[in-house]
Order: sequence, then C-alpha cells, then structure tokens
Amino acid sequence: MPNAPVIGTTRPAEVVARENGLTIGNARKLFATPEGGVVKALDGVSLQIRDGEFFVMLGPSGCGKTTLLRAIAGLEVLDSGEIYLGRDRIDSLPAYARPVNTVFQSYALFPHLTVAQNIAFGLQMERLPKPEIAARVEEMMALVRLDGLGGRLPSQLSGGQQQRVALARALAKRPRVLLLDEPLAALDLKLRRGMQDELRRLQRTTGVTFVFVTHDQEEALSLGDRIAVFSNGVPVQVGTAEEIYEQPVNRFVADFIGESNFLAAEINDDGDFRVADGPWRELSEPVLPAMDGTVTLAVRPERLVVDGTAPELVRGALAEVVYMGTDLRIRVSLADGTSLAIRVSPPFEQLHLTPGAEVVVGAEPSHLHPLAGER
Amino acid sequence: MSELIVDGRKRVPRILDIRSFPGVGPVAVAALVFLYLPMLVTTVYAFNAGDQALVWEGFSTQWFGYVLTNHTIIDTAITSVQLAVAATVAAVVMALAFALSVDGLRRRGSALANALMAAPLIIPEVVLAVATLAFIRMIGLQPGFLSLFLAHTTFCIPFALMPIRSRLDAIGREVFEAGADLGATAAPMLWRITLPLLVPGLVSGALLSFVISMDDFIISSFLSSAGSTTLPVYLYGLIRRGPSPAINVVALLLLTLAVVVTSFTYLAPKKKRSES
Amino acid sequence: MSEPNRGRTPGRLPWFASLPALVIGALFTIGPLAVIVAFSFMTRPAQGGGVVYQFTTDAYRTSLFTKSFNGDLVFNSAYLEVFWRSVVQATISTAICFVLAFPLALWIATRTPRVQNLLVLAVTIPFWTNLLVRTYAWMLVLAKDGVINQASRALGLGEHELLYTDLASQLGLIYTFLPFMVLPLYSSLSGFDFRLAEAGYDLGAHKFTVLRRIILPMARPGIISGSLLVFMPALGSYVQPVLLGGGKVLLIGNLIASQFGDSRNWPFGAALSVIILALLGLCLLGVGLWARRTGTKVSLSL
Repeated sequence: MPNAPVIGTTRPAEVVARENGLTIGNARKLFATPEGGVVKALDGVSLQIRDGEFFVMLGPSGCGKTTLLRAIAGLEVLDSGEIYLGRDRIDSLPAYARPVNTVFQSYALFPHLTVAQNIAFGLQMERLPKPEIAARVEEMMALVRLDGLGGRLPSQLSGGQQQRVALARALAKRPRVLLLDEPLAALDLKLRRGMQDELRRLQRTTGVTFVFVTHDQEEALSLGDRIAVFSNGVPVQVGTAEEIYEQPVNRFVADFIGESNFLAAEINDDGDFRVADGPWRELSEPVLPAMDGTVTLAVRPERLVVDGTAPELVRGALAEVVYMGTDLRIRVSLADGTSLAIRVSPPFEQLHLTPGAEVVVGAEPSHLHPLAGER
Repeated sequence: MSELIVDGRKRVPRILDIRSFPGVGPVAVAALVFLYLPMLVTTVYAFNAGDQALVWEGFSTQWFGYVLTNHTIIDTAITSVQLAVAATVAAVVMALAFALSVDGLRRRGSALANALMAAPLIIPEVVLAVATLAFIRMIGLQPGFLSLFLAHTTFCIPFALMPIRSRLDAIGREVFEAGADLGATAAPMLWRITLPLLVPGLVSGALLSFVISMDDFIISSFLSSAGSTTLPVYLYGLIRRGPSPAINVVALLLLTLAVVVTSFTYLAPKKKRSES
Repeated sequence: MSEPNRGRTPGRLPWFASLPALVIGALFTIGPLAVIVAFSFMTRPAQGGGVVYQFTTDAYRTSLFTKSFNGDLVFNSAYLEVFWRSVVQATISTAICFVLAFPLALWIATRTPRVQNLLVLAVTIPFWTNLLVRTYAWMLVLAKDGVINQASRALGLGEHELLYTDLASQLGLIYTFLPFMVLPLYSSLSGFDFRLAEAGYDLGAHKFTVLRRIILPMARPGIISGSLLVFMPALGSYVQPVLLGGGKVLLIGNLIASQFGDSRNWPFGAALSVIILALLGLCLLGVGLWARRTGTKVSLSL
C-alpha cells in the first residue's frame, strides 16, 4: 500500500473512508448494573463506515450495537475512543451539534406537534428562513409518501405512517449520517417487508449514509451493503451479506446468521482431515488444528448433499425427513451421536429416502469452513 | 347451567360469578353512604331559610347572600386565595425544577432529596405546625403572611411534584433525545418540548397545591397573625361556637371547590390518554 | 465507568435547579424538626412562652413525673394516659377503616373500568375536601337537633347525647381517614388478575378461602400502606377531638398544640413532639424492615 497516493490512481478504500466516512476508533463503554456488576457494552470497537453506504450493525440484544449507535448520535458518552466524521472529530460535540440524525425505535415523535411541525422542528432549530422550511417539509412528505397528512397529530397515524414521519423528520435535516435504531421492530411482518424496500429506496435516492441497527439477521442480509456482526461489545466480522454468510469467521457468526452444522474434524500429519469415520480428504485451505489435533468445520445445510453429486464426507443413518414445500429438511445421525441438518432443493422425486437407511453425505471442499479460535 | 335473562341481558347467577363475594357489595355501598351522607346533609341545610342551622324552615338562598357580603368571611377568603396562589406558583416552579434536575444528582443524593420532599407528608401536622412556629421565631420571623407563604410552599411542593413526576415518567426519555438529536439546545427544548408536554402534570400539580393550601387549617392557625387570618382559621373559630346557617354555606362552597378540582384533575388526564 | 445515562438525558436541567426546592424543604422541614428537638432540652422561662437556652431534661421528666410540694418527683400517669388514649383511638380508627375499606376497594376493583374510574373519583373527593368541612358535616348529623336526633325523635326513640362525646371524636377520625385506606387498597387490588381466583375455584376452594388465601395476600402492600396512612395522622389528630369530642377528651395532638400558646410550657410541648416522632419513626422502621424481609413493596403516597 503506497504511503502517498499518486494522483490519478485509485486510492485505498480505507483512506477514502477515513477522509469522508464515519470512523470509530477503539470505542469503549462500561455500564454499572443495578446489582453492582459491570457490563462491557463497547469493548474497543473500531469501524470504518463508508460515505453513502447502507451499513447494518447486527447482533443479539446487549451486544453493544445500540450503545454504539447512541454514542454516534451523542446520546451516550464514550469512556474512551474517538468518533470521526470525515476529518472532524465529533465525539466531544453535544448531540444537538452533530451533523447526524436518528430514527428512534419508538419513533419518539413529538405528540403535541403535527406531522408537518414535527418535520419542521429540526429545521427551525437551524433557524432556516420560513419559506425554505415549508418547501423542505413538502419535499420530505412527498419523499416518504405522506402528502396531505401534514395537519395530523402523530396519535392519528398508523404505526407505518408514524415510522415515515420519523424518517422524514430526520432526513429533513439533510444529515451526513442517518442512524436507525431497530426502526422496524414494532411493525408487523408484512409492513416490515414493505418498509425495508422503502428504506433501500430512500437510501439510494438521498445518498445519505445509513447506519442501521437490528437483531434480525434476515433484515440485515437483505438491507446492508455491509454488515457488522456484534458480539459481547465488539464487531466480530464486517463484510458484505455474502461474505458473512459464506465465510463466517467463527462459530458465533456461523450460528447467528442462518443455520449451520458444526463438525469436529480430525487432522493428520499430512494436513488431511476426516469427520467421524468418513474418508480422509484434503483441505481447501491450510488450517492450524487445536491442541488435540482437531478443527471445527462449519457447513450450511443446503451445501450438504445426499445424492452423490459431491465427494463423500461421512456416512450416517437417515433419522428424519420433513417436507417443507420448497425443500426437504433431512436429519442424519452419525456414528458418534451427532446429527447433521441437510436441506435438499427440488427436484427430489428421484431420491428414495427411507428413515433408518444409510446415506452418504457429501460436500464440496470450498463449502467447508474451518473456524478460527473457538471461544 | 341455568342462566337468567334480565332486561335482555344474560345474567350469571351470583354464586357462579367469580368476581362477586358475599357481603362485599352491601358493605361497600354502606361505606359510600357513610362517606357522602354528611356532605349531603351539609348541602341540604345550606339552602335552609331559617336562622337556626338545623331547623328546616323552607328553601332559600338567603344565607349565600349573607356569606358573600360578610366582610370578615370575604377578607379571610381573599387572604386564603392570595396565599394559595402565591404558594402554588412557588411550589409548582420549584417542583418543576426539582423534577427536571433531581436525576442529575448522584444516586444517593437523589434518594435523600426525594425523601426530603416527601417528609411533610409523613410528619404529623400538629408537630410540623408547632415546630415551624418555633423555627420561625428562632430565625427572627413573626407569624404573618410571609411565614404562612413559606410554610405553605413547603407542604405544597410534594403535592405539586407527584403529578409532574408521573407525567415526566409517562413521556419517557426518547422524545427529549429526539429533540436534542434534531438540534434543540436547552432553551428551545424547555419551551417547545418539555413545557408543552408537561402541561397536564403542571395543571394537576397547581390545582392540588391550590386546594391543599386553601384547606390547611392546623399549620395556618399557628402562623396566622391578626392581619393574615385565613378562611379555615376563621371558620374554625365559627365552628367552635356550634353549627350555624352561615357555616353551612361556607362549607358547601369549600365542598364545591373540592368536587370541581378533583373531578378536573382526575378526569382531564384520563381523557387525554384515551385519545392517543 | 458510568451509570446508564446519568446526567445525560437531554432536556433535563443541571443538578443545581433542584436547589430551591431542596433549600426550602431543608429549611422548613429539617429546620423546624431540629429546633423542636433542641427546644425539648431547654428550660422553660419563669413566665411567658418560649424557652431559655439552658440545657435540662425537665421537659421529658414532666411527661412522667410531677413535682410534689416538697420538691420530690412523684409518678404521674396523666400524660401517659393521653398517649395511651391516642394510640387506642388511632388503632381503632385503623381497624374500622380497614373493615369498611377492604370490601369497598374489592367491590370497586370488580366493576367495569368506567365504573371503577367514577368510584375512585367518588372516594377521592372527600380526600380533597376541607378537613373542617368534613368534620363540621358530622356536627350537623350528630348535634342535639341534628339529623340522627330528628329521626330518633320522629320514631319516638327520644333524644341522645351524640355530639361532644368520645364516640363522636372516634367517628370523625374514621370518617376523615377512610379514603386513605381505600385508595392504596384499591391500587393493590385493581391490578389483580381474577383468573387467579378462577384457578382457586377450579382447584376446589370456596369463596371465603379464595378471599383469605389468594386475594388478601395480594392486597398486603395496600393494607400496610393504608394502615400507615391512617394510623400516623390519626395519632397526631387535633381537629376532631376538639370539634366533635368537645375538647373534653384530649389526645396527644391537642396536648402538644396547647403547650405552644402564650405562657405555656414550650419545652414540654417540644418533648411531646419528639416522643411522638420517635414513636412514628419506630413504627416506620419496623414496617420498613418487615417489608425488606418479606420483599413487600410499601409506598406512602397515594
């Protein structure tokens, strides 16, 4: 990587991000629990969020993602660490002075103000001239498709409409970054799908950087340009949906995103491996086994086959077959007592699956992911 | 199961109704009658035409005329209203400031502060009254309007605080965070968000303070001076001489104040909530 | 390390905004209490009210002993009897209030939500009505020409001496403090899930058993709060014994008040105040310890 970028060449993405995007450096935050304990909400988080991307922070509750979002907004003070927006350090600014805006989980609309007054509020705080505020409010209501509802009070709107007002109110300020704290959690499934499309559209049309917090992995995969998976106050993996799904870095990610089988494999001196009493096979990438000479392999259920189209991995007894319409879910018991979940896509008419029969489970080498450092 | 149809409505026999317990209804009704019978008697006799409080001589509103033109009653009532308004304004402002800032104190400090605010509710009124009298003498004040104002403000604060607090809790934190997020600094936040949202709590707090101050007798009786006699203090003197038609009327007027204020504070926030 | 959001909630005022309320609270709550404790250890002036700044425990001794003609201390139970009478009246008030309030609260809690609101309002109105008005209303009922005697005469049962008796004073206390018992009881019963009672019946319990074993334990926090809210002010009551009891039977509240007139014994009044505060303090401490041990949540506000 060149130290001084030559004019005319593409500069490294990290440098561009540092100059234009949102950079979080070694952010730490401890909370005291009422019982007198301590929770590490943020345990040294460093992230670079690029300008104009849809960035999703995903993790179970209590993993630190919301704390980080609130720290970016200025609603939480970091114990240590830095937050930069482009070249400007913003973590010492109060919330009202930061060029970022938030869509709250509960929407937090002002109940005593109408829709239009809610959207205008932030602009009035900037002391913009009245005609400009009026124009911007109109523009925002059109953007989120709320035309004609400007005179209503939030209590007179449906949940989905309130959600749109919250979006319009935050976007009206033309923030550099829009922070969204589980904004779809309160909506029912159908409405949520619709709002996901809406959010993607809004992000593309406005070009604003979206930082979206969720605990719903499907939502994360479908929305995010890039996703950070959080666990215990740190992002354990950052990448595109495909990277995270196909190449999980550890058991937590593999387990949290989608479904995974975890196989204990034995490694011999030649670097070959085998699962249970299966055949010895070559690994697709070199791996450092644990002290006892084993390694854990993660493999998705849909990457395992029972029709012999991939090299044999292990044999087992067919324990259960469940017809799900779009696919078949199969459970295979291995000699060592573990069981494998396998998903078979159509056509499966040719397969003759009798419970109790022996099946040969196969997998392509590239679909077996050795997992690093088990915790 | 046998079901009775009464007035077209299905009625479950009482023994099968899980919410009914034998004897509870009659005692409850008796307790309500016990609460309201004396007030009803007062109301009726306030419209007595006779000179005797309890000898009914026909319907008349003449005693209202008497009371409303009686200089002592009017003067003491004015003193009471002035005192109640002053104490209410002071108590509501201080309670508001307290409610908005007490969480900023350290945990132990805020627990202590809350206990201090609740203290006047727990100390027996007589004790607080004589102690306050001793205290104001000690710091060089005399019984009079200023002493009354300070004492009334003190015991009004907890009553003003209760509804303001519960309203603040009901609003939650996120609305204020949204305000800050949208760029509101301290002053616009207070004027455009905090105060408008707290209005129901402030109104309830003010009404409760006003009634508590208007009603106070024991503390006021120790702190009143010749020029600052409140209505309850004067009323007590009248009552000690036995029932009279004029007292009936004053009692009815004070009762009406309680009914109006209680109904208002009680029903107004309920209505607000059901709208949203 | 920081506590969650401490001092950071936007829209809140800086901590010193609570100072005015705290200062006036400290001045006119703690101040008077401190003065009353101090006064109780001071000497009574030769004549007139007030105190002389000279340490003595005479005031406390006065509550149990009198000086005889030759200067010896002789045990005197007069003031002890006043204390005892006050405790008895307060206890009776608490007990009868509970007997009336529990069915009322339970009855209210089993109505429809709309009716519940109205009934709670009906109980709240007397609570906010002027104490003198409420007491005076009973004078109209109990007086020589009052409602009861009118009815009694009409029925040929003759006339009864009702006003200015012990009984009238007791009745006044019960009447005054009944809402203080109903409201906390109601608030602990209103959240009661009557499906639990249903489960009780399903398991074979009778109505009375359900009441005793399921509903009464649920109402325990309300019973404790209500009892404290009745007992504590009833112990220090002042108006009812004078207006309804005719001032013949003094309670501790009247005794204290009468010591603070001109040319009365201020240190003695202060000592009595300290004693009653100590009694109530012990009472609260006991309840507090019990609440902590049993995990019951007791609140002293309505």
